[in-house]
Amino acid sequence: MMKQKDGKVNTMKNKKFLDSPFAVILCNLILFFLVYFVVISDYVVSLAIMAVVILAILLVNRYNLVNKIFDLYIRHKKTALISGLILGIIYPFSLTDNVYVAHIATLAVIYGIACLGLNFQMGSTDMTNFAPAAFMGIGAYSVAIASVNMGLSPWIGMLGGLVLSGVFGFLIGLPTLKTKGYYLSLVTMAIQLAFTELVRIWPYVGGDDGLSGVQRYKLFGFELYKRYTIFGIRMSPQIPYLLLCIAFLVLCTYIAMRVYFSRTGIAMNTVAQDEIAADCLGINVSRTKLFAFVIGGVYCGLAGTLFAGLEGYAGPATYNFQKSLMLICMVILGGMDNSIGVVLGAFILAIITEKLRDFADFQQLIYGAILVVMLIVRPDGIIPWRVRNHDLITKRKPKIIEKLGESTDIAAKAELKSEV
Amino acid sequence: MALLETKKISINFGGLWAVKDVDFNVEPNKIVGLIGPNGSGKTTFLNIISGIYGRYKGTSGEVYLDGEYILGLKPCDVYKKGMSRTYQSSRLCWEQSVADNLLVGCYTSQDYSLFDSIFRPKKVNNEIYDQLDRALDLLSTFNPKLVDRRYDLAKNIPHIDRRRIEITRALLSNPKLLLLDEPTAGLNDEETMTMMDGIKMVKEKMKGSAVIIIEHDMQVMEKVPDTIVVFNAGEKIAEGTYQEIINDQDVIDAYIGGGDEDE
Repeated sequence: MMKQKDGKVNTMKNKKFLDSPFAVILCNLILFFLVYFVVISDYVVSLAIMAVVILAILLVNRYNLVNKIFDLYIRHKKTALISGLILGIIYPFSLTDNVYVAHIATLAVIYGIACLGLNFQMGSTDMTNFAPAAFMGIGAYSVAIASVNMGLSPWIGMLGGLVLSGVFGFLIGLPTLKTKGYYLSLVTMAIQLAFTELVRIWPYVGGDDGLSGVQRYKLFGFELYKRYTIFGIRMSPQIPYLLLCIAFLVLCTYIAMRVYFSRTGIAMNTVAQDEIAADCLGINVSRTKLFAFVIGGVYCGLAGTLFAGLEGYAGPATYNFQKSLMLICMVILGGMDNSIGVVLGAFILAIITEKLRDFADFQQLIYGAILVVMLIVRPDGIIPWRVRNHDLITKRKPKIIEKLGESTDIAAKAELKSEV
Repeated sequence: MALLETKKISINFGGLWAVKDVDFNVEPNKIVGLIGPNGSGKTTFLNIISGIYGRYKGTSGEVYLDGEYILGLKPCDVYKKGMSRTYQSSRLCWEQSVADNLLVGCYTSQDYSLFDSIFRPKKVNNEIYDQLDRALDLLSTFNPKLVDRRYDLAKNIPHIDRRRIEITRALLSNPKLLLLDEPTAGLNDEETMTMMDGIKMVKEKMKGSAVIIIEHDMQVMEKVPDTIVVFNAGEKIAEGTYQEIINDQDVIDAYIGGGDEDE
């Protein structure tokens, strides 16, 4: 009770501050330090921090604070983006010489990209795709084949991987148009299992051993996977690569959000909720579903190409059914149909998985437990989808409100309150 | 020329003729009422002309909208030709806000590509909001209070307002032909009358277009439609004004009933 009262007084006092760009910067800083400490500390501390953060979000959500923070970010878009980018650039360097931590951080970012892709299908269009790891595999194997088997630059492999995973998404999408719900999931499950089997028995891609010795990415002759010494501090080799991955993650999140707020995003949601109604409102249902599969496939493919560049290896065991389950868990945990939530889910699960390497035998058990708890406590995820506020985004108000006049506006509001 | 013209429309569900040989014309600027006992094929008829059963193999006949042949098109293409509809049981997206539900109705009136939505120049923002403005303007003719509730989820809106939102959503494409499938289902008498006033008001705004309305309430049927068509067991058994219909012996036998026994 006391806490709530304090909070109210504070918000009254600091209303101006809470609505200013500084609040956004403060939020970004808090986020930065949270991520930093979670990544850098050992597993007990990092799990504890994550548990506290999740509980705090769930508690705070009762007062609709998460939504208010989102609104704040939308209102101060530019400040949020610029300060976020600066922190995003500082973040890799703050990890310095800790190779293992840098590896975890990069993995988390890559999984974030894959989950954004899966979210187009699972969150927006409500088609549970059990084959995101297969899409990642296509991207990874494209890079591996291009650089190991053909001796080409991995960038060409990445480009090929993006195109291939898009095409593969289209091809998977075609049969799934005829199925819905569980049957669609079964089809994708079969495709995931078939993919793992295919790369296992295909000698050209290395069979069980996979393809190792994938070339690292280079940018203008500048190696992205190499130890550098900056200001006399030796950095772990993943740092430049982590920067690249963060750049991709920012770009992907940006595109995903823009799609969410466009008519395509609304159309995807409508298809998810009522196909017949969507069809009778001029939305081409097949095209919308295929779009979700293709763009999701490209996102996962991109994550795969980055993954291969990080590990320098592409093998069947990396892109199996369990990885797909992990990605699905991430999306469910983070929040359906909310780009930020999905990335958060990916971060949490990726870090838990890596920090608990010692207890790898219990991994599946942990995923299962997380899923069950989430589905009971909060089926929509930690930060679920939000109502699109077109007033805030376009900074306009409906003309009709002026036309109706303030008096009716107030009267209507009073009446509404009495109804409630 | 008739706005909607159907010739020998039939649909056969594995041996059952749900609709059989229906010839049906709708003139511009007219409201046509569709009545008949439950299971007489009224909704199936609407489903055929709006394209839901258009590509089903048991469907036969010809449908012309404003002179264009439309049977066999997908529902989304029929919608683009200028036919929109509502449903017997509301098909709003419960988990979306009122504003988003309305914007779905503007889907085809918005004209920007995927690249535009990603780079989002000012033009796109303006376009989206202009559409929302138009939608809210229309919605406020039904109920001005709903404008303030535009960011509430559709599932939290009262039943009659959901119907209003649904009709608004159907109207946003400026359809030539509007199909209303029991717009007053689940409303009480008073609400039914306000609903009908709203529909008439909207009808006056839509010049040159027509409305087909399915309804069970004979009071509504007396006041609203210009002509009434009666269905029974998948066939059209009568067509005419309200006075002609209620004195038609076939209609009395099939639907209205013989007065005394009915009570």
